[in-house]
Amino acid sequence: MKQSKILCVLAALCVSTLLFSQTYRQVTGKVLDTDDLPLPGAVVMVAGTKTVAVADEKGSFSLRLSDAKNTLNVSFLGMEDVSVVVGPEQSSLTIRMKANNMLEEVIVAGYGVVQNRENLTGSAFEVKSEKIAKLPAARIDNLLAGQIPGLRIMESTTTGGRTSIKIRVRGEGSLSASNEPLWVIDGVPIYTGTKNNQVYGTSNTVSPMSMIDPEDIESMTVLKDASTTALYGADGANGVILVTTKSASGKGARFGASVKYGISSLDRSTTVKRLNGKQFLELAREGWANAGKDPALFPYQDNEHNTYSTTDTDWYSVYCGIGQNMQASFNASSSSDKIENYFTASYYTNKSNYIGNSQQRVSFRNKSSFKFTDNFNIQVNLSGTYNHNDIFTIYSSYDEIPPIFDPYLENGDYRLYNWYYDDTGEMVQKKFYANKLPEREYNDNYQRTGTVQANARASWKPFKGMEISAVLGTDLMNTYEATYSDSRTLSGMSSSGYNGYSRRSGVFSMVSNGNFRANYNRTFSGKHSVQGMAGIELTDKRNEYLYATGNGFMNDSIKEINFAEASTRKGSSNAYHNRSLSYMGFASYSYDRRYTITLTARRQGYSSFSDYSRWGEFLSLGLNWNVKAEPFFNVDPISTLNVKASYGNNGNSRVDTSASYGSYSISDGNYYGGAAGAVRGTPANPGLSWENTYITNFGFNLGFWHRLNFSAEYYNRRTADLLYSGRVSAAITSGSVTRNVGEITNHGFEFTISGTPIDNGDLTWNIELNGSKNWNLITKLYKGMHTGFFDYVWMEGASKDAWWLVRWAGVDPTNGKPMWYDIDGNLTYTFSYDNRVLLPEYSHEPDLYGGLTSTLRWKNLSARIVLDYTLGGYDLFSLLDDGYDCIGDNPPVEALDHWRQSGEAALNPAFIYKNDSKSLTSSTRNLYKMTNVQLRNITLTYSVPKNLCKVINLKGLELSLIGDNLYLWTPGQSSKHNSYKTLKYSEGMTRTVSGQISLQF
Amino acid sequence: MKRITLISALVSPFLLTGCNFLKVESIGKSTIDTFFSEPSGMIAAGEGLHTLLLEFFDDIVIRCAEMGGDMLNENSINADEGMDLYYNFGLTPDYNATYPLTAYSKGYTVVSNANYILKYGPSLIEQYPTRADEMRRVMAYAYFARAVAHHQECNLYAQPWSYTKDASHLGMPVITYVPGFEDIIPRKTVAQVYAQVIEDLHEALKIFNSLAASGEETSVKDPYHISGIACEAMLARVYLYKNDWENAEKYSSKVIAKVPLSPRSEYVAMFRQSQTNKGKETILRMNGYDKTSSMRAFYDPTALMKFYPDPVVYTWFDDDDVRKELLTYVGESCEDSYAGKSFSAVCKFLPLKSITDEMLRVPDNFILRCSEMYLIHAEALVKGDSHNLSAAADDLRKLIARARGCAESSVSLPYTDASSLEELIDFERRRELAYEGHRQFDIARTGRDLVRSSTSNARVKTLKYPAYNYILPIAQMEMQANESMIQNDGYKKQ
Repeated sequence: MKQSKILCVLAALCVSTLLFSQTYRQVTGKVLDTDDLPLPGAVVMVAGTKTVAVADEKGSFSLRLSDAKNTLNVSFLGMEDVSVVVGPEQSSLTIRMKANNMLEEVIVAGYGVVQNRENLTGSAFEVKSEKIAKLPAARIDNLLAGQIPGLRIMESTTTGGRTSIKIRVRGEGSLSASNEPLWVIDGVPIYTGTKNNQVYGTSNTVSPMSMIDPEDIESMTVLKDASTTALYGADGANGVILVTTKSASGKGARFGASVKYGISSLDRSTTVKRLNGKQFLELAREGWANAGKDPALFPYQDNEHNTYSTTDTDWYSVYCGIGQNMQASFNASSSSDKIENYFTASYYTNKSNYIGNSQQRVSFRNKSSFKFTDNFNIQVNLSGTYNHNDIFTIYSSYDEIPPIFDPYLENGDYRLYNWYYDDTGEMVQKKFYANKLPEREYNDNYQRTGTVQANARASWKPFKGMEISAVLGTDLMNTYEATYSDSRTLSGMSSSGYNGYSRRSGVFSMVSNGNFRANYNRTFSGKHSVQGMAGIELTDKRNEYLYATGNGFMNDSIKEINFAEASTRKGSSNAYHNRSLSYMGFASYSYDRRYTITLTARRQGYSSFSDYSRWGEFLSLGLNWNVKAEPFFNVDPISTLNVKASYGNNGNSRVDTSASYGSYSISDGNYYGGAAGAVRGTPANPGLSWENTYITNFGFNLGFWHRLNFSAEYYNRRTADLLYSGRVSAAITSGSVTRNVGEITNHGFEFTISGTPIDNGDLTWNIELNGSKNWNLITKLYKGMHTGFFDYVWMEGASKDAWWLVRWAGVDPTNGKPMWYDIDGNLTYTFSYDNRVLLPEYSHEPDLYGGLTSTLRWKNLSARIVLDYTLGGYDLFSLLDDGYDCIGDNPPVEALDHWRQSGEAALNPAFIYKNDSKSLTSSTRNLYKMTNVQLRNITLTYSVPKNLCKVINLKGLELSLIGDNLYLWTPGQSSKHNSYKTLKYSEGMTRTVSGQISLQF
Repeated sequence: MKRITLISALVSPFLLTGCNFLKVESIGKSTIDTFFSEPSGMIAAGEGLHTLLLEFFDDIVIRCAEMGGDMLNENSINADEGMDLYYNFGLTPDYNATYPLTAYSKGYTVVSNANYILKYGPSLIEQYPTRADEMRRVMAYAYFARAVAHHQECNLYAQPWSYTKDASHLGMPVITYVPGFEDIIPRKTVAQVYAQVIEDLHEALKIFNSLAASGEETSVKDPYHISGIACEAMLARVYLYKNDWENAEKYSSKVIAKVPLSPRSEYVAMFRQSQTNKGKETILRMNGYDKTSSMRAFYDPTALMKFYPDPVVYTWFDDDDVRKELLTYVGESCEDSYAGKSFSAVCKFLPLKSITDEMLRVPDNFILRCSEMYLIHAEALVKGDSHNLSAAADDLRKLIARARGCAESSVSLPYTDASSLEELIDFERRRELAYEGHRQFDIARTGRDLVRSSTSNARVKTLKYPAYNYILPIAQMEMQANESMIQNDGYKKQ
């Protein structure tokens, strides 16, 4: 009835426009969504006129337009408005509309709790799959780099090219417990290693984050404030990252497949610049002579075994080459009234540019949902991966190996020994441990890991708005690690004649989780939205490992311990186990989508704490005022305006599980004469309990014309009962002990600006910029005492990120000696740790950090760019040793510029072998500003037009060209000397270029 | 209603079982209470205590006493910074990397473990009367270990007994209980430390004697474990250190009567094939089975040798002296590139490479062996009231005759008076107990100056007694963590 009324009005309008028109033409068109489905009922208005058309069932419409250029404004509920220009000659057109996610988007907070974005009381930031698509597939955690305000990813390349990643959400709120966020996949927490993301039991850690296929991810949501994280209670204090995997979408069967191939190489402009062979020898000789040593006894003199003077080895090219990676994946989705199913399988292989390292992953994931009746539903998620990692660890800072050593002998064999003079002037044969090429070739070091994540969810809706559900989930990870040191390598040779060394280990970890809850969600009289949840959650985490070692093998192809010399066989096993039990609740009330209040509570017990401090209570309150929905607020350009605030607490329990009871440990090392021996581990600390973090959060969202959005948040995280691992008298224990002492505060702000500066049918440009700043302050410590480390200090009233260093005062031009300022600011020649001062102006915390993502789409072509930036902040690198070990280590190029004669104003002190000036010790001399911009990703994609696809029987075809880590920029960079650019990645940045073909059918 | 019943039925088990759900224990590292709830825990703790004692001597005591002595030269290529600083008396409180801190913590780790045994022991003995003897023995181990650790800490960090008239100068903390994190742990005077050490040793001796069938041990049954005779021998040493000549003589003679010296022919094997010759003149040595001894790396010329004998040491021995053999390493035929080559090296900690079983190819460091008792006995006789010089000279003759394989009567000792005999005793200590972890403490104890030879490659060749750097500084980390700690004179900040 209503519709027909509108039609009548429209008809009337059409008639009236006819009366005033001069020349007309008929234009027909179609309104479709991004999946090419028609949008019946879409309203098409001709700008500047009163002409209107409504799309029919097939999405078609027809209009009479003037001969001149016209603009059509198209609108449809739930879709973003579109403006299209119709040229004077044009007679037909297709208009595509995108879902308007700014309005309708809901944020999933976990445990069945959802909030509308405009009514969100807390801080949750969601990244959709399109923003992380086609990023490197090696692991899932660094996909977030630069994407989330307040989340900082610190990646470093460990030796062997594997990446180690630290994630910090809103600064570090703990001194001794973990600072890593909690990861939850499809509602079930997963095993991410120890508090520092190490895996127990293996010699090398392969991150569990590398065992999930990033292509499975539909979205990642990072929860940051109390009102969202308090639901997760313990372990929520460092933020929570919720990962939602892809599900079936749309009706019927759909298939997709893609293949990606890439090559990677070390970006040599990001590696430390060191001396070549000739420069090294020259400088080493100088250092040697300056130390008053006899030049005739200089160690590196050409001999029949080593020709030092002509050797110039570039260790980077010895250890690095061209890497290759390939990912092939397939997915199938089907959907009917009763069953929805999404299946994906993929194979990923990556031969690292660090030769000898590779990763292979075979994975599948299946997500099924069965609707038994209208109110009973079962969902089963199952995923499994098999991972094979070959590892070759080069010892750290391999680039410091002097270039005058040749890894090969003249006959092409690997060099195991070097010959040089020792102190007494005798030529000696020295083992060349630094040459790892034989180990790369002959030794084994691999891990095979199988993971299974399975979870099942049953839900029952007994009456309207009510849902009772049970989720049972498990995350299993089993790793087998095998390492073998071959008898042809120095590490496998034994003077006892027992050649070859083999180690086998197995690691089994299991996280089981069950949660049972009732959710209620209903809106009354269209205005009162009520949501409630009550639930119980049980989590059980086990970690077990065992290993065996042996040496003495018949030959190097028999590597199993069973065949090792009986007397050398050893083995051990160990286990960790803890549980937690929680009761939780959530309630929210929203009036007319204008005023929202949420209340979250969780009570959690943790088995690792002793009886009287076992339970923690976590509460939070959140408020939101959606100003835009107020009837009085009708400022046209403003399309979104809401403000929010929340306050509450959550906890952190990730400490060594025996810290509260104290421990006695029985291990191989404590055995005496073969009999079981045990010694005290940590002394007991019965009062040990949760860290409590109180988070205050304020924020607002402001949007204009549905195209430009600005949001900002301020937070204050105060961690009380800080778990602090500090020293007590070594007479009590030589290790440090964990205590609940002290308080630490992190406060800061975050902002996101996102917008669509250009958006007309063919050309769209999206851009999103985020930035964050965090300030850290230790407000209270145990008895006000400070704990000093070599270069930083935990001190009341100071930031834990500030450096604590002796101030470098340059070089005395008269004698080339290094100078420092003492504690009173006077010049001194002697280095003393007593002269360290706190340097708030030199903090490890950047002034601002964040990222930028931008997508430009023109017809079927799109380009996406992802970069992250860091402004300010200082990092410490010990590069120069002023000749202290000029015989053993290859110095950086800066070493050439040192003091030589009296009166010379030099940057670096005199170059003397084994000098006792301690100038290599950390001082402000070693600080480097961290400002940098890293171009993480550029992706160019061409989508083959649909009609062309149809010809070859496809629903879609995409071709992409992808570049990862293309460029790193730092101010003051130069090809001649080192800067943060050459230091940020300890072993250089790996650059990857790939191509991808994806199809849908 | 039916629905509500169903929901309640589903939910209630979880509400009820909640409390037991959290009662799980992390395995592997057992909590202290659980660990000491059964005799097996006590027994394992006793063995673990021996391991700690082994480590304390292997990593700290034996080497420190020699690096601070006058008989070693440094191999600067392999010696690390801490060793170099120790050797040249340059350690400062802020050097937290090794010695000032580890020498302290390793000793007190022994003390702490002993205290746990002594805390839980009595109630366990009461609970398990049938296994009381086993556990009482472990308690005796604990008293002994606590005494030894306190004594050695005093040697490392405190000036010797005679530094002040009544030994009222700064000693080390005495810890006889399990301290809490908040407890104040002050230094006691040297006299107070020695009083506790002697009390603990007597306590241990009392237990061992009560366990022995005859009321007193007559021979060392297990040289790898602490025994009553070890307590007597340690008492002899401690009394010597506190210049109590009467008791030093008393306890050393007791031990001499029970433990024979091994013959010359077994002298080298006693060190280099220790696992098969463990009982040779042993009062107490640490079982190195399946352990990695860091002393081996310290002196092994085929590995990363840190120190080797000062050439002057070779001139101290007669050619027929078996002890000289332990100062030259000759590569065995199984060592390809070293076979037949000889190196100047301390071999007391270098088991023969031809021992095929790696677990047995280990040094079993001596804590106490009988020849030391003869030297204590001799010194006590000379310095004590009896001034029995000839009996003292006989003690020395026994050791020299054994080493040279000659008759005691043929050993000439050119002494004229007590002080010249004292010099001979000191000389014999250097030869007999060479590199076994005594030298620096002997120099300090007897109030001698440190004088290194002209062939020494140390940067510091002499130290005048008393010197502040005869002893270690308290590490800065300990100064910070322990408010009541007092720094040694000379190391205090200006």
